[in-house]
Amino acid sequence: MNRPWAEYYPANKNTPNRYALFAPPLDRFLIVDNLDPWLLFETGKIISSKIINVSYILKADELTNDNCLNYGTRHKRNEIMYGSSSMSSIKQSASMAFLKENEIVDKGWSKEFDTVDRKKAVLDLQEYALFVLQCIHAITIAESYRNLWPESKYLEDFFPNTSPAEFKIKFDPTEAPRGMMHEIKNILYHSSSITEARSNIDKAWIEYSQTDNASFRGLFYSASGLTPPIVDNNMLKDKITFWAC
Amino acid sequence: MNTPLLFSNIVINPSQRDFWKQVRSNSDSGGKFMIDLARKYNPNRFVARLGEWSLPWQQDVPEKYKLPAYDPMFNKSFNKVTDQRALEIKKLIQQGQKFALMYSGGIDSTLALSALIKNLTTEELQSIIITANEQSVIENPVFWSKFIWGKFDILNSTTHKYDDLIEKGYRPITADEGDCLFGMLFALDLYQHYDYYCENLSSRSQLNLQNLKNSFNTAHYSKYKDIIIKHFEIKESTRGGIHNFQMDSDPNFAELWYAKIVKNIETSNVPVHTLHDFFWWQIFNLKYVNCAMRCSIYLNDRIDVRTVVEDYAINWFNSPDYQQWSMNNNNNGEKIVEMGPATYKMASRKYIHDLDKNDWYFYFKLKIGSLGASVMMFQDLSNVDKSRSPNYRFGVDSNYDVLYVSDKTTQEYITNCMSNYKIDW
Repeated sequence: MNRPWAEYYPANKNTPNRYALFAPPLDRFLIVDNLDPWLLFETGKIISSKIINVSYILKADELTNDNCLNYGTRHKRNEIMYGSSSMSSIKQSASMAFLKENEIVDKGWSKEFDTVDRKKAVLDLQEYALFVLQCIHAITIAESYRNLWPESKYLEDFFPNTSPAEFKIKFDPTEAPRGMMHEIKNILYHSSSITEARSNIDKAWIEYSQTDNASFRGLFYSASGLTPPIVDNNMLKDKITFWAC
Repeated sequence: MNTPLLFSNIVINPSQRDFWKQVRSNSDSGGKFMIDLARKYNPNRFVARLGEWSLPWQQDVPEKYKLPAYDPMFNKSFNKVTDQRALEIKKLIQQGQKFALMYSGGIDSTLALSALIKNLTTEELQSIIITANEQSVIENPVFWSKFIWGKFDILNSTTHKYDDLIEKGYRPITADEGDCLFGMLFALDLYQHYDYYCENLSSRSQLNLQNLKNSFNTAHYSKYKDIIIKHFEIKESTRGGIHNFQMDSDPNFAELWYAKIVKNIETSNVPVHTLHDFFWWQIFNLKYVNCAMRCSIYLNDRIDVRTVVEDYAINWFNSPDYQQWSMNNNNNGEKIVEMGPATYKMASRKYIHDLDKNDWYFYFKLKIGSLGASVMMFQDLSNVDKSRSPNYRFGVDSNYDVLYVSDKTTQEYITNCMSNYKIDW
């Protein structure tokens, strides 16, 4: 799979997968990644609207996104904390845990999801989770590199009651009410399919990035590898160019 | 003390741990077993609605929660029974009553709300409010956005308990006995650990149990005895807090518990055949009263328990038809299809999916123990005397008066009963 966003992680891009989303309803790993545990956790948070999951830091070189749906954990009792994958302590919000190498076992495909429709549901979910991960990497990269106006977020976080409300209305170069990071995550959390999410993401960029003079949108699409929507330039508002002195 | 009791509760929590340690050291064999059972399940509120079942004290089942006689000719579908339940609420609304549905986002309360949405008019639905909390929203975000937000008035379930709701003029509706109809979280826990348990058994037993995986819906539960016993064993916890009981348990505990349940099954005259049935029966027959009554006792500080139980509380699944449905629909794919959690409560999943069309919820929703974690633990007790707080509530007597472990007479009663209770099965 072509992963343009991986180029932003030169130290990790060729390492084995060390991070995985475990899905207790399947008793299998849904997706794995080698780049960043916190963005995988964020992905888990977003797909928690569809399936309970736990983000694991693990050491299992054999796990890939092609085979992880056959692998599960051996013994849930060692995962005693609330929010683990054990049936008796499971919770809907995403959680994170460290997993020992010897607790990963090849269980084969889940018998509970062996019928045609149930198998398709699992594969659709995995595809959706990978799409979310792709978007989360891309929006995080784009915001880190191209959000030149993050100050409102600083005020919201650090001066919630000690700064004027009108200082907290522009979260990035776009006109998205709470910023594009918020917008994209919400679309991914609430969408029911990749098609729906894709369409709404494109619409959001078209609607909110008309004054984007920092190429925030451009970096999102290039880092994600997604094809950008065709934008009618006549629709764009006049860009205010930088006044360099 | 007015006996028989109508509810009892042995719980190892920080408020009662020392008391139960003391009781255990003075108990006869049956008393010790009861406390070990609490250590295993915490709490131990097992009481039989049917069949032989001894307890240290005399205990009866409140009339409302008694099990109707098993009718093997019962043939109503789950959908029909569910629609009928909603129509019963509709009738009460037409008589002017108002309701508060305890909604967690889980399958049981979502089923109840789906049925009400499906069978009531928009105007009739105005007589229902939703009590929920933060977790309810994220447990089922699609249902929340599509069917609840903007359509119902919402109260915080953490701060609005049964007494508040009743004082505001609402009858609480709980779907808390959903598990009783379909199975048991403890069973799902076993299915999840099946392979792990097998690893610790003889190779012959392992082979046998691996083969039995393919006979989940047909094999008799006794064939799984080795693994059930493994699941029943009390593991000494390395954790502190309430788990730190620091007392040896009877090495025969698991065998004793298995034998006690089997005796109850064999004296009940309701078909209990497979592994899933075995656990279903534990909760349907032996834990039903707990599931049905706990909100009236533990989410209520001000109103007489009898009044709450008999006049106000509506247990969604406590209709004779639901009870019959549960006794007549084992091993046909309605309760569970495969050994695992993802097909559990299949009949409810289908009913909900028919309304919300949410494939993710249908395929992947898991049972979450929401009540204890999200409601019981965080309730506001600032106006409750500590010795009268839920943590000290032992049970209710035949007058529905609440008994507190903090009271000396209750302590003496318990100690006396436990010291005379022998293993008799």
